Amino acid sequence: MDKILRINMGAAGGPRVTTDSLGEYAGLGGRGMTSAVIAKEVPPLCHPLSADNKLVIAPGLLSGSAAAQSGRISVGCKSPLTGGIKEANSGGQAAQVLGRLGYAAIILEGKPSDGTLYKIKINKEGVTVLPDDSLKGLGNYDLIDRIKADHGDKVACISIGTAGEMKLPAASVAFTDMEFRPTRHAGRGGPGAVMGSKGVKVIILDDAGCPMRSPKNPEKFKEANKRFAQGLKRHAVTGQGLPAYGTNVLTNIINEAGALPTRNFATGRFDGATKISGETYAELEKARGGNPTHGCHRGCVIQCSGIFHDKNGKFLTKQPEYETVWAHGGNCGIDDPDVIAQLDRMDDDFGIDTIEMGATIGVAMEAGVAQFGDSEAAIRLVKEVGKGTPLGRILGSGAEITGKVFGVERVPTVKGQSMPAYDPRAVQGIGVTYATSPMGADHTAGYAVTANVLGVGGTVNPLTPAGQIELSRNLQIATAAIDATGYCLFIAFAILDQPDTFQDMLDVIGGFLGQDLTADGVTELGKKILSFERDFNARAGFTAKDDRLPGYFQREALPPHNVVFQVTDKELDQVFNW
Amino acid sequence: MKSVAIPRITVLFPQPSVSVLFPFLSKGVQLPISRSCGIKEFLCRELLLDPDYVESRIQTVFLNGRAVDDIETVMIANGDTLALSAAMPGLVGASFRRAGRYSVFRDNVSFHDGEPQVGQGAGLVTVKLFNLIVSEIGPTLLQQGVRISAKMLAEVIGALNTLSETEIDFRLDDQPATSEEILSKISRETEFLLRIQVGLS
Repeated sequence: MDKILRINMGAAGGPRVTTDSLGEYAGLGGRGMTSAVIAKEVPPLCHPLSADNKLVIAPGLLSGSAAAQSGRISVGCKSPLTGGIKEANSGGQAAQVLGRLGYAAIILEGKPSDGTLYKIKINKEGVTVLPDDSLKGLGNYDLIDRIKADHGDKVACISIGTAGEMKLPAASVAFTDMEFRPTRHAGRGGPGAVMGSKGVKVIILDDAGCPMRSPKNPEKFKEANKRFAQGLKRHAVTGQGLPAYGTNVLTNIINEAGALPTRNFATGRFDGATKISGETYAELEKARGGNPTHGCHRGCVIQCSGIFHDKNGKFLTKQPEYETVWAHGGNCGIDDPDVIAQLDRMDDDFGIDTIEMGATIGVAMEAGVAQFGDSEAAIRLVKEVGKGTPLGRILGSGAEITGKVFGVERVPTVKGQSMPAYDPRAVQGIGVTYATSPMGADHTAGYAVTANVLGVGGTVNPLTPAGQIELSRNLQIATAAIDATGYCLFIAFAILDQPDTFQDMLDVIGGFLGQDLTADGVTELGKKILSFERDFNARAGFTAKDDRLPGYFQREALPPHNVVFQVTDKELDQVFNW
Repeated sequence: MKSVAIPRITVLFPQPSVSVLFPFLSKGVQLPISRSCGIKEFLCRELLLDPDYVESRIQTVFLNGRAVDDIETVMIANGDTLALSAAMPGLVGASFRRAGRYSVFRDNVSFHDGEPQVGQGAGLVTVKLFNLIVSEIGPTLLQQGVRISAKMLAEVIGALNTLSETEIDFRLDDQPATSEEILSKISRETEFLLRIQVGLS
């Protein structure tokens, strides 16, 4: 991965392809790469859909190697949803394939002067950019079927659905999985709209004839990688809980805690939670010939995904994630697992962020556009988005715009991005991260529960109120660093409890890069990425006032525990005071 | 608490089908408690769980919806609801762990010292089992017997009737009965003792 591919979609005479050396971006991967490029090259005040914005697609530092769990890929841009910097990441096959092709990043620049839609093919021979208006209006599933007919199913694809073509702020970028289905998405913040504005429908990656990336110290890497995979398998979360039930194992627990946002964050408990829990989905998947234990890319040890079949035993979608089940389920008062799976399939096909879509429908339901619990209405509303009707375009613009259009005060967003599946009144520490992350409300922005193990932030007394400010800071730093490696954040659970697995991970990275990763190095990398992001947002006009939850979270008590968000503005302003 | 005889429903079916009843254990079933005691003592004495299993496996515990950190000292009694889970993924999942590093994140919904006790003395406790815990101790619990409402029994029979390819026998107070005969009792009784017996007689 020693080069960057730039494609100027607005060049005179048609798209122009150039290949650069890494230059000042050497040593960066994943989120580190995307945020550095956006911060340095994109004018912060530009319109997100303008030629000045860029879409950066970057595999992690380890992607394309044999390192277990290293298949994450980052997509960066100025967000059409938040107006700030955005990094959304995804699983799927693309990170590994792009890594083997040798590219540390693809950067889409400019925009076509007409409405032509392009497909890009990248293989070891080079890059071709071809106009193909026949792809217009295709959902991701039909698109991938077309690509399969022309290129086979050994390639990997990065694509947009109709929502991206319409440049809707909730549009996602899709990545194909091991079965060549477009089930993995960089969803948050609307990167699909930016890809649409560049006139790119699909990027086809073909690594035929490309070798796996070689570690600097093969023996150390191989041994450490083997031990690391074994460590993941023996841990209760990464080796048992996630493989058995997926991330949706959380539904019952978060509901029991009274922290499951229900009916547009009106209460923390949903009566129908058990019906849509991970345990229920796993049983359904087994009974219908699906599979509750499946990876999203080759090299995945944890296998937290799954395959969901409909009532006739036919593939419908991947196993919906916890956040998707919450967004389309409890948040909308819907307790039918088949309906939620159908909505997940539609989201993936149209190319929309499932979290933003579910939160938006919740707001629309509060406005009276439909009744909470009305499954048919929820399906109809998502179809409106896919078709691009006026109502659909409003909904596809996200919860905040929908709230404005329909006059709803209770809109659960930060920096214009909807909150995910954890009510910050019950779990205040995640509210700190929602409020302060440069990304807008994002549960994964402070996800790396290994912050202390990684040595980020030194000693913190977590049992003090101030502890959650410090912990959120340290978590965000550690997460930014892990997001740069291409590692799946779920490795954090095993690392938290098993010191030997932590050492094995360090040895994998050290063996691959030829230099040891230190605690200081992790902290420095994480801070550097967050500094890029905070600096961009400041220049885009963001201030401390944007690092806040909506006021009603401090006023309206959340049943059943009747709690409000109590972290003060002054405390929130200390998060990035390092 | 005075013991009152309630109808006993025994379901006999092969082991692989037991999981069809797990959702009901997640919704919550009632178990007797002989006196107010610490949660760990309850789990070991009344549910007959191994103390090492309780310590290592049951990482996430809720009492009346509040996250518990110290299962030795927090008391449980008649009328309480206890939920049990293995360690969970995600930052929020990690924050709900007993005495975990991120427990301050959910301080608002933690069970604190001096918290008013909901339950008192001997009687019945509602127990909810989730994820790995339900698959590991659920079958044993069902063999020991759990108290469920008439409404839940109707749902249980409905779920069992979906297992069309599985041979299932019912007994009502130790006498062979059809599911219809049991359902006819539901309107007259408010609760039942449900037991499973693995392997057909």
